[in-house]
Amino acid sequence: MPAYRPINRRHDSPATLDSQQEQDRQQALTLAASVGSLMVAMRRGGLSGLAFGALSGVLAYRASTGRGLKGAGTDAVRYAEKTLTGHRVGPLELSASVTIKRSPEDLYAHWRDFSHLPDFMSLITDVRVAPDGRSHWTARAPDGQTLEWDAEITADVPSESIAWASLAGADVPHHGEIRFIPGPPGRGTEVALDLNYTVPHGLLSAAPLGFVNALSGEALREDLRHFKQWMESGEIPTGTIQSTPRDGDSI
Amino acid sequence: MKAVCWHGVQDMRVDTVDDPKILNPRDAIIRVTSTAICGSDLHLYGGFMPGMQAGDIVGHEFMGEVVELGSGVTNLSVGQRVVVPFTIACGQCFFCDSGYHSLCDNSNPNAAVAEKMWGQSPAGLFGYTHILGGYAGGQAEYVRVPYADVGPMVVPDSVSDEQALFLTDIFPTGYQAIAQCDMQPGDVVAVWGCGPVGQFAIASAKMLGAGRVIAIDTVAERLLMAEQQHGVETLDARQTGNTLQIVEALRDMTAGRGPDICVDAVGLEAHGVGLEYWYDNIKQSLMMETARPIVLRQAIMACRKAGTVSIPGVYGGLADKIPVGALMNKALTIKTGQTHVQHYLKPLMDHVERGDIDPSFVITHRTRLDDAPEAYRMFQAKRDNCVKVVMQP
Repeated sequence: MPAYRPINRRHDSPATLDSQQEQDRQQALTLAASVGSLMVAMRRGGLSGLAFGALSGVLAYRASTGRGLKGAGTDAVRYAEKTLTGHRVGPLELSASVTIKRSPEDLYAHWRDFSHLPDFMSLITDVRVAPDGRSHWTARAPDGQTLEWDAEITADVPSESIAWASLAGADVPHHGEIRFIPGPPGRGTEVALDLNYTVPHGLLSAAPLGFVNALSGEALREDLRHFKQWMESGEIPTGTIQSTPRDGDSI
Repeated sequence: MKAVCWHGVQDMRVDTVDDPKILNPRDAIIRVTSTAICGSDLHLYGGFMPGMQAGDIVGHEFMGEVVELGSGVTNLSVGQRVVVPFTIACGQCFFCDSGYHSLCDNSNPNAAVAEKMWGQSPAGLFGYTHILGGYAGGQAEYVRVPYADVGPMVVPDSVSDEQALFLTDIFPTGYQAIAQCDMQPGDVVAVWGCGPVGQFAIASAKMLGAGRVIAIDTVAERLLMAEQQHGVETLDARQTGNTLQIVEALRDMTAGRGPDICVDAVGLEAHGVGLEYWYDNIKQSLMMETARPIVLRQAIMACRKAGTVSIPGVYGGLADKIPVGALMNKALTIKTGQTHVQHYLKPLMDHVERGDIDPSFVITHRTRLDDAPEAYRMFQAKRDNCVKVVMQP
C-alpha cells in the first residue's frame, strides 16, 4: 500500500490504523523468522544450511518490502512456476493514469464506443459491439496468434466511468474500469484505467501467456498516452521513416 | 535522396536514403532549399548526447518548399516557401496552448524513454536523438514535417532564404534567452558564448532595451563579431582566467553588483582554464558526468543578487559541482528550456521583414550538402573563423 494517493482505484482504500499495526506486527514476525533461519543456517552448514540461508534471505526481503509471512508460500509457488515456465502466473492488477485536455464528456463518449479502442490500444485489433450491448474483442498476442473474448458492461455512469468484464470462455479472463475525473481548471480530465487479469495456474496455451507477459503498467500507460495523443492532436506521432505510424521506433 | 547521417562519434556521412513519405494526416513533405549546422549538432557529432543510432538523419535548421501535404493540412499549399521550427509541436495540448511549444505533450513518440531520463518528456525534435523522437532531420533533400498545420510558416517574398533560415532555431533561441528574463530598464546582460545563439541573444538584448551587454567567449574572432555587429563590451574568458577571476572581472565591470541577467549560451561542452576544466574534462570522458558545466557555474557565481540565470545552452544528463549555495543564498531565478519557436516565429519574422535585423550576419561559410562531413570538421575545430555553415542540397 503506497503512502501517497494515486488516482487509480485499486489503491483507493488507504491503510487503516488497525491494518497498519497488523502490517507492522507481520513485518516484525517475518524479520524474526529471517534471523532465526540465518542462525540455523550458520549452525548447520552444508546443503541444508544453504537452504536455510536462502530462506532467511527471502524472509528478510519480504520484511523489508512490508510483506509478512502470510502468502509467502503462494508467492514461492508462483515464483517457482514463473522460473520454470518463464511466464507470469496468478492474478495481475494493472493501472495507469493520464491527463487529457478534453472534457470528461468527450472522453467518455469516445471510449464508450469500444470500436474506437483499436485506434490506440496496442494489443487490441478489433472490437465489435452487438445490439444487446455485449462486445466481442479480438487481440493480438506478441507471437502473432489471435485471442478472443466476449465482454459486457458491468457499470456505466455517463461522463464519469465505465466498467466491463469478460464473459465465461474468454481466452484471457479479466475485468476493467476507466474513470474520467475533471482535472484542475484548464487542464482537462484525469483518466484512470484499472485492469484485473485472472491467469489460472497450470498449463495454458502459449498465446494467452504471451499476451499476459506483454502486459505491464508501462504498456498500459503507453496505450493511455496514445489515447491522449489521439484525443488532443487527432493522430499518434511517429518518428520512423519506413514503417507505419502504429509501429513505434525501437530504441 | 541524399541526407547527412550520423554514423558514430565524429563520423557524419552523406548517404543515399529512401525519400520520406506522408505517415500521418497532419504531415507535410518539404523539399529543402537551405539547411544549417547548429552548435547543438556538434554535441551529437562529438558523441555527448545519448540516444543516437547509426544511420540517423541529422539537422534541425532547415527551410524549403512544400511538395506534398497530408489530408489534415489545409492552411498550406504545395509550392509555398516555408521555414520550419526545430521543435515539433501538436499545437493542441496544454503546453502548446500556453505558448510552451517545446514542451508539447504529444509530439515525442518515445516519450516513455525521455520520462526515464528526465521525469517528463519535452517535445520531439528533428534529427536530435531517439530520446526526442527519432525524427529524421533536415540536412537532406527532403524532410517529413509532422503537424505541418501548426509549425511551418510561409516566408514573405521580400525575405531571402538566408534571412529566414535562422528563425528555425538560433534567432528565437537567443531571443527567448532574453525575453524570458523579465528584463528591467538599465539591466546589464552578460552573455557567455558568442557562437550563433550567443550572437542572437546579444542582438535580442539590444533590441529589447538592455542597458549594457557584456559578451564573453574564449575565441577572439567571435568576440570581434559581437563587438563589430552589436557594439557591445567584450570579455576574453581565456585571458581573464578561471571562474573566480571572471566573476571578479564582471563585478569590477558593474561597480560590484554583478550582471542582472547571466546567459549561458554555451551548454555542455564549455571550455575553461586550469584545474576546473581538467576536472570536468576527465569526469566527462570517464562518463561520470555528461556535461562540463563551467559556464553555468560562472553564470551562477557572477549573477547579481535576485538576478536571473538564463540557459539556452543545451544540457542532456548530469553535471556536478553546481554552486547551489550561491544559487540559493543569492535568491537567483533560473530560466531555461528548449525554444518555443512557434511562439516567437511571427513577431520575429515581422522584425526581419521590417529590416530591424538581418539574421544572415552570422553566416561565415556556404557550401553544398555533399560537403557536410568537412563542414562538421571545420565547425567543430572552429577552423577558418567558422561561426555558421549554411548548406544547399
